[in-house]
Amino acid sequence: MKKSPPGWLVSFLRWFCNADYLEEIEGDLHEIFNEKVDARGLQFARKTFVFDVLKFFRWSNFKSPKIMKYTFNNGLWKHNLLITFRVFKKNMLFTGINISGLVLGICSFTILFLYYIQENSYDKVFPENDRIFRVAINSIDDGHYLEPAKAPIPLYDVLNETLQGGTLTRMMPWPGYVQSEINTKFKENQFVFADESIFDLFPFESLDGSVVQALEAPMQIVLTQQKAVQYFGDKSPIGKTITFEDENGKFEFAVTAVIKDLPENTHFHMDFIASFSSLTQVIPWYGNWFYPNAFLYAKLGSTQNVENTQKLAEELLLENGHKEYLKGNPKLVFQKLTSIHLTSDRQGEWKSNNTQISMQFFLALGAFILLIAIINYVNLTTANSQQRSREIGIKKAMGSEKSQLIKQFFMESLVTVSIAIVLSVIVMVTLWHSLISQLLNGAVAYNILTSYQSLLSIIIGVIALSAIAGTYPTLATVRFNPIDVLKNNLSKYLNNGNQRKILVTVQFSISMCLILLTILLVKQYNYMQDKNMGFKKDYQIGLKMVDNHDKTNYKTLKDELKKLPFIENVAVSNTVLGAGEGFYSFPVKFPDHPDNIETEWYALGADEDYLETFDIELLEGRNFNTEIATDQRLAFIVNEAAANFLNLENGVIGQSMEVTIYTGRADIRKGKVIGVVKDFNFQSLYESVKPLVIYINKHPYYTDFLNIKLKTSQSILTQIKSIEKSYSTFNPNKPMEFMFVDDEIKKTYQRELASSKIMTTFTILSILIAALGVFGLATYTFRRRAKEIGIRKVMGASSSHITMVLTKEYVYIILISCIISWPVVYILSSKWLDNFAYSIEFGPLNYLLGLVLVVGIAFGSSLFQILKSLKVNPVEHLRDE
Amino acid sequence: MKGTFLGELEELVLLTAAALHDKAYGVAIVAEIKSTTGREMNIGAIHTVLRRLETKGFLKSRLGGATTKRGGRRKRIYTPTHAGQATLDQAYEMRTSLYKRIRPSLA
Repeated sequence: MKKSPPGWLVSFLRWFCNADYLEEIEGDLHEIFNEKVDARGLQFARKTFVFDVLKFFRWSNFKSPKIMKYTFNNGLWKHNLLITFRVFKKNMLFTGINISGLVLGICSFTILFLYYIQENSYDKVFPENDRIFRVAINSIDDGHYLEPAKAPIPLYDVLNETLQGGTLTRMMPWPGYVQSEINTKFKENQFVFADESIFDLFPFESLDGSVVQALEAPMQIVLTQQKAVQYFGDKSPIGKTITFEDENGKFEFAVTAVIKDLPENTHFHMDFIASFSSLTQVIPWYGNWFYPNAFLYAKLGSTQNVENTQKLAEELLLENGHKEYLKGNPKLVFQKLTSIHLTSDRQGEWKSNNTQISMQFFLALGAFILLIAIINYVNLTTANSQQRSREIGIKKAMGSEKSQLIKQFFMESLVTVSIAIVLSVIVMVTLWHSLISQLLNGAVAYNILTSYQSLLSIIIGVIALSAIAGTYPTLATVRFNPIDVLKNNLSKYLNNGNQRKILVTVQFSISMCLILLTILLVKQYNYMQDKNMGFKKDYQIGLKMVDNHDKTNYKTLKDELKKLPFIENVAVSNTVLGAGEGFYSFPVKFPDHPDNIETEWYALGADEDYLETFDIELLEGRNFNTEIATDQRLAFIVNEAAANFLNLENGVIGQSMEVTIYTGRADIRKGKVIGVVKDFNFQSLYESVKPLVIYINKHPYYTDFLNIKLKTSQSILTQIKSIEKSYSTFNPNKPMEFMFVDDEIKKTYQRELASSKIMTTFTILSILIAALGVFGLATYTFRRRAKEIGIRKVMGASSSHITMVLTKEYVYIILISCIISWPVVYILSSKWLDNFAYSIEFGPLNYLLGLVLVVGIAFGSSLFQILKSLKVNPVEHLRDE
Repeated sequence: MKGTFLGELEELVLLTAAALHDKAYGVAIVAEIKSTTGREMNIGAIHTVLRRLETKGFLKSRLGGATTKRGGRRKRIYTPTHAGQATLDQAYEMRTSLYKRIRPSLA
């Protein structure tokens, strides 16, 4: 072997070591190496050489990177920074506009981006979430497509056979009343029965007790921290009992563990998790194919793929499924866990989910607002560059290189953007609680914002933004030929107004689009809020009949309530109007109809007072009458849609009709149509009014609500208190549950409400940014054209003429923006409005309103400058030549 | 005079470099310090100190001859400047004058 030190160590030394010192260091290392060879042998020397090299691995020996040498060592860096701040100071106005525009843009984008990330983060906390699926079933029930989120409970056994090394769990929400030894009774909607394996799929962190075997035996229960505190205070609830009560009876559960509250960004919500095996006591008939259903989650084995599992499961379902159930031609659906929040919209979801498309829309909104801010920056900086041409000319004449000038201008945009980002952070922190956490889910967004990735993206953002914003102005500025500049021969560089006009046009087009879409959203939302639904929705209360006692004896309460002076009327029904759910469809038959119609209609079980309670207008025939005994079973009232569907020459009154009502058994009622009511929107406005039949129902199966019509004379609070009093004498065991009908209707349009809030906020912000930009540009233009205006004035031009000259440019820009943005808005608006059966007409007037707003913004923000240039004495500008 | 203050290690290295008379370079200085004081010095640290003394103006350097033992690399030989020599003299005088006050007979 050659007597030389290991080559790679020498290379390493050469890589880090400053070339000026390399010669003697390498020499010394060789000498040490050779001494060691002589003293202890070659092998020892080679082995320990690394330590010798490391002795030189110190700061003072390092190469200084080139970039440091040029930017830090020769003072240019300092010089550029100094110039930057001098420029800022000289152009306070432009710098202010630039920075505030960027701050608004960055804040808007960040908030919308956080919202996007938040909505995309759902269920990603669970390990191996790519293998977890929710299994649901699509089926057809008498012509209706059913897409429930839950699946029949026996599907569990079918799927169990298809899993190779996977895990299955069922979760069944079952609302009821919960009570502990120290706490009064509360209605709990997030009471869930689940298999023990829930903790294998979703490992919730336990705070007290252990989740291992926590749900092994029947009548065991796990609480969330929040509920543990609510029901047991600061004492440990482990081993204590919780009483759960539903219409089937009272049950006692032993608390085995307390888990941390579930993160907000999961698509489900649970406060109590009881062992699934408890169902043998709570709902003894639970294991059938029809009702109740449960959410079913499967974690596939690591080698399994979804398609094959689904195929296998479908085959097994056909073999083992209930015959009656298989008639609906059930098809399995495997929904990826992490995709549920943004793609799934099945019946009976845990929470109302979001849509991918609205997420993309909001992200685009953020990007557009940022774009408007960047355009401001580019426009104002290029406009300003001509003012600085002399500086550049002199620098070039003194031998400055293009690359040095580019560095200088990039430095300026880097500093501007950095200041803007620091200010944005300050603004967002200040507004966090009052504003931002209302739009976002505070806790989730906070976690996202404080993670290291977001710090990293802020740094990347600064660099990227300054690159985007700085490139064009820099290149536009440094191209001046020094001879032209110094000879004051700038005219050939001045035609670049075109690029500025194009950018302003883009800004105006975006602003116009946003304004129009906001008008659309707000109008449609208000329309749905205020639309006459065909029934009275204000001062209406739905009182829930919570248990069998209530349902059977509702008449007592009804009579009691009717005696109260502020109550106009009370009627029983099986559902609350406007909430969009709870309507059953029943088979109907018209034996005398020429087409012998047999179909299925929505049915509303009510009593004689119903139409009056809701002010529903009767068009033909008569209302139910308590004195006519046959009305109880043999009279039906239909709506206009039903009458139109039947399309009979002599009207539908007196037409014989058969309705099959399921009350645990099929109850076939053969009767006659006695009245027709005007169409009212018993479902949400997404749906058009479908045929409906109203029948008298007094069977406790469907006496779910008492609808109370209040007089408006007294305060709602005292009215509710009196009702509560009557209720507590009627049923002392349960807390009263009630809802306002108009609130329920509002809830249906929550998604629209949230969107219109976000849209309005950010459109106002974007308009503000665009207005800032227009203001800045106007300032610049009028400053540049001051001499021209002076000459015009001297020649006798009137104020109005000068105003016209100054604003002509904007008229064209706005017209072109209209041409660009209106078709876009037209397409988007008609697509979106298609989602609603009842929608506003988005006519040309709205477009004109948008135009007026944009024109107003443009002129409003340049008004100050126009007035200033009109007022100034022309001598002021003409003299200084 | 700030910046020309000598640390303990710096003084030791400067002294050794001066004592080695034109043969002072990294490895030699380390060996010399070891033989005279018994202290095991880190070669990397010595290089840094030498460069620092050079920027402070106490040492000057030139590149010396290459040997096969050094893999063909040349040595950087350090010699004291006038300022370095003066500082050493000053330090010596200061010490001896202080020492004289302890044991006047030895002086």
